[in-house]
Amino acid sequence: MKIAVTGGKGGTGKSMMATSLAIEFAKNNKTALLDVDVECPNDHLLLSIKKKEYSKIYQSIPKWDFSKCTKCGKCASVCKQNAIVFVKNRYPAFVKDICIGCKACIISCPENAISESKKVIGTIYTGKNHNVNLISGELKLGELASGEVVAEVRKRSEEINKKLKIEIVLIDSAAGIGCPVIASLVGTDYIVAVTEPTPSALNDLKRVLYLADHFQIKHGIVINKHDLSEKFCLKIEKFAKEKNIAIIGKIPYKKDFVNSTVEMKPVVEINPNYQKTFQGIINQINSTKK
Amino acid sequence: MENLKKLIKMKIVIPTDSKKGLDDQIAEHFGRCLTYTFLNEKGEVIEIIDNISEHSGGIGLPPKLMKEHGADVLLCKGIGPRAINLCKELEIDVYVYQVDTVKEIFNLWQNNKLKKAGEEDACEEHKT
Repeated sequence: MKIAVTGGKGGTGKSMMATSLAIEFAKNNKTALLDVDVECPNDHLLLSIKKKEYSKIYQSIPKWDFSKCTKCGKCASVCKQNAIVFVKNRYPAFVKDICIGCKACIISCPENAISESKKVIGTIYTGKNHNVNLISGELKLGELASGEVVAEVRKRSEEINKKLKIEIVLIDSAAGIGCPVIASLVGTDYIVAVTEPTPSALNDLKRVLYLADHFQIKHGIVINKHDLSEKFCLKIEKFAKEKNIAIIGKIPYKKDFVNSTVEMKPVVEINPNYQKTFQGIINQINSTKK
Repeated sequence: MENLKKLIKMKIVIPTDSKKGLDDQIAEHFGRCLTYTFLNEKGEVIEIIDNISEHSGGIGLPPKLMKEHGADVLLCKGIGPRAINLCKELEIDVYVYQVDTVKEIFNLWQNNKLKKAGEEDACEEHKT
């Protein structure tokens, strides 16, 4: 079973939820946690894992054979990223950093002077602690294709999951609703949308649940820090009821969670009482399988 | 070296905001400026063009526009690492220095007082 943890707004507790659920799942099932918040991954910190490099992630870039190039400028004219700059009577100039690997230039070249080369856009790391197998993706600084990196981490994780006979895959997505988040959600069986009782969180929650609906993935809401504003919490509950979405968990705003992050220890280790809360969420997720 | 510079024909481009020539102020940003002032290797103004690149609502990146007008050297106050890379690809030497006027920065460059810019010289806000 593949479960994505997302939520829209940043700071609602996605990584806390993903790591905590992973630890609880790992008690009964072989569990992998995919940290695909590739711009700022930090599940390895929450789980005190010393991550090891597993492999690099590459993207295709063009390479010119200037002996064939006739300086026609076609490659530059089809480059939507402006990564190829053409000045009359000169060979095309290429800015590697902006290229997103669409290969339009390769197809457009009438002289077949452009071949495929590659550049590193990210790294996959692995590690293990608390019985959780972590697979963590990291975007190379300055690169643009975070969605590509997420998709590649998920693809490459399949081989690891097969080898380790993984039963449960938890996917910790980035904040937002853009390309990297969509790449995290597609093809999952369940979406856990973590939110908090603030207007901005509800606004963003609606946007991310629109995605869940669009991809026809079952989903439930976890209201984190629910006691921040009981009044606004009711508003979220009302929204969920109207839309017929299950609220699968409510978590209080407690210092335990801050200490967990600071001490790099799972929150259930700081206060075992939360085990029940997370097991409750797991039961709700499992009940949708039928 | 100094003499050599005066012998080789070169086009030097400086980002500016008006058409005052040698006494013009250098624009703060190499791409987001109104005009480009072109000098020859002797420091004489050869042409002043409007910035019609995409930074001012036009098409194409500024280094492309500069190269189309034959620039060999770019003297400016601030530039990002990607633009420095692109200039390198287009064979435009970049020098960054904080002075006020076109005349001042040209004189410094002509007297070999400026160091050629690499990526590490890009302005802080452009670094990722």
